[in-house]
Amino acid sequence: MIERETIKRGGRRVAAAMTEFFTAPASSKPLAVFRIGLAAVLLAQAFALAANVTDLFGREGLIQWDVTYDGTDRSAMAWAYPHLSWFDGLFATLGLSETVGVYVMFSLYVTSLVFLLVGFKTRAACIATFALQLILSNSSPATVYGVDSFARVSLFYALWMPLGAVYSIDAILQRGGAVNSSAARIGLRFLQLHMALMNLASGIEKGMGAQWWDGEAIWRAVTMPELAQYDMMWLANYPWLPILLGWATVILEVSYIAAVCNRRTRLPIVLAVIGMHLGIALFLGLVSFASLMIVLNVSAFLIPSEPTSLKQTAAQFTPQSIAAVAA
Amino acid sequence: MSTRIRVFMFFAIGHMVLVALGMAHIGVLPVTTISGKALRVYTGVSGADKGYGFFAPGVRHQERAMFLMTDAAGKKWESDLGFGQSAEANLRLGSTANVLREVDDETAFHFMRSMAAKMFQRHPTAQTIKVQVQAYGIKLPGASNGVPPIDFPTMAEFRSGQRPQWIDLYSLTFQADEAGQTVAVLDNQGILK
Repeated sequence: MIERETIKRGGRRVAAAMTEFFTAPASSKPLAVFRIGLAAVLLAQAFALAANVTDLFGREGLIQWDVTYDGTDRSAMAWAYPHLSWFDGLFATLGLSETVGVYVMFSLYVTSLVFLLVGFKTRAACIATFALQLILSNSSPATVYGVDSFARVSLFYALWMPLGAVYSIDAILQRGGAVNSSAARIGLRFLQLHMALMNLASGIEKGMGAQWWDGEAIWRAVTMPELAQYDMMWLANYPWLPILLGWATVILEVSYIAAVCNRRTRLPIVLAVIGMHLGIALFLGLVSFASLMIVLNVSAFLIPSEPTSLKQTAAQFTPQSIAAVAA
Repeated sequence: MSTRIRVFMFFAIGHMVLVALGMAHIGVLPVTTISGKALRVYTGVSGADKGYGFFAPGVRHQERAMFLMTDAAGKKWESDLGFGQSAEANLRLGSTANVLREVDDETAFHFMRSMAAKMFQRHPTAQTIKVQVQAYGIKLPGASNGVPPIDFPTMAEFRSGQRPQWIDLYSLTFQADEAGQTVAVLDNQGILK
């Protein structure tokens, strides 16, 4: 019979290991790469959409506000989801037409992304970007897709992370927070956990469908007019290739969670997933989605998180930082 | 570990549990309760309610909306939703047609009315606009209510000579009233889907 003290000791060891795993100080560099990559992808996406802002988000857009605000299954709880129509009164008070108001909101979104990119007033920029992305995507629910889901999730995590500690204007101005911190470790761990669970869920759901085992999913995806970038109809004559790609995708996603936990298999699996997303960009044209996924994979698993000394970090930046360390 | 970190960890782990449940499409509380509503709002805003079954369990056939405009002289011309200025914009605009199959008839009607209104803006000389929803695929054997099922051909079907094409599903024709609002002219005996 195991003694109570032994169980207690074991419990304490597990608790200590968990505490170490989640809170041991980590470098903020992976989170800085996450911030820069996320902002860069969303900025590129915003520029690609800039010429169609009113078509996508305006009151008289392709799907009008009265449809998006009251016509969805969330109508009973519409009050909880901020929508551009909430700002009607504000636009009127400021003497702005609705169209100009929509452009102002979109411009604020782009501005907050620029602040996030360079790490200036990082926390405020993060809050503004999250809120504006939420408003814009809620105002255009029929046109959102996977990249918007990941943008929402990433920006929500970003709210709680120390993103401006390095590679930022805030760091240069010495107000970015500690370079190494428990907060950085917690942020990184939950980003990693989310990526691992997401890949597992995606792999399991794919594996439950016959199309991923007989190659039909790959065949359909690359030949669908909406997504096809090249004429891939020839694939029908080589069914082994889509079958192989289908199996590889499912196995890759399901095994991701285990492979990233092991130092030896982490790099190969993450590189393989990055390769898969490059394929998605190239053959399905989902460039924003693939770019964001690559940013998330790189920042979560490929940027070293071992704490760096303040001297090392400061040396990369300004004379003031070096002087501060020397002092 | 400081109290602040402990509290943060508590909420972070709780969030991750919600994320895992969201991925598994498991609702924790009914939205009829206050706590259920609060949780729904939280998961919606944070993105914790997102599923990640991209192209899963399979890839569905594509649907699109085509617009047939007719002016006062009876001249007809066609257009589609590819009026975006970038591939990213066109991807978003074009995908709205795929939403039609996910919603009920009433919502689909409002979506089609809204699309027609946008097309009236883009084609001011149009008197009527027919919104035609089409599917890309082949007609399969068997029918329900006289409508054959449509799906994209398998690789084997493609090798045997079957080729996907755009097949008309349902349509609504709209005209602009004096106030500039779109008015539906039902041309499908009231059945959309």
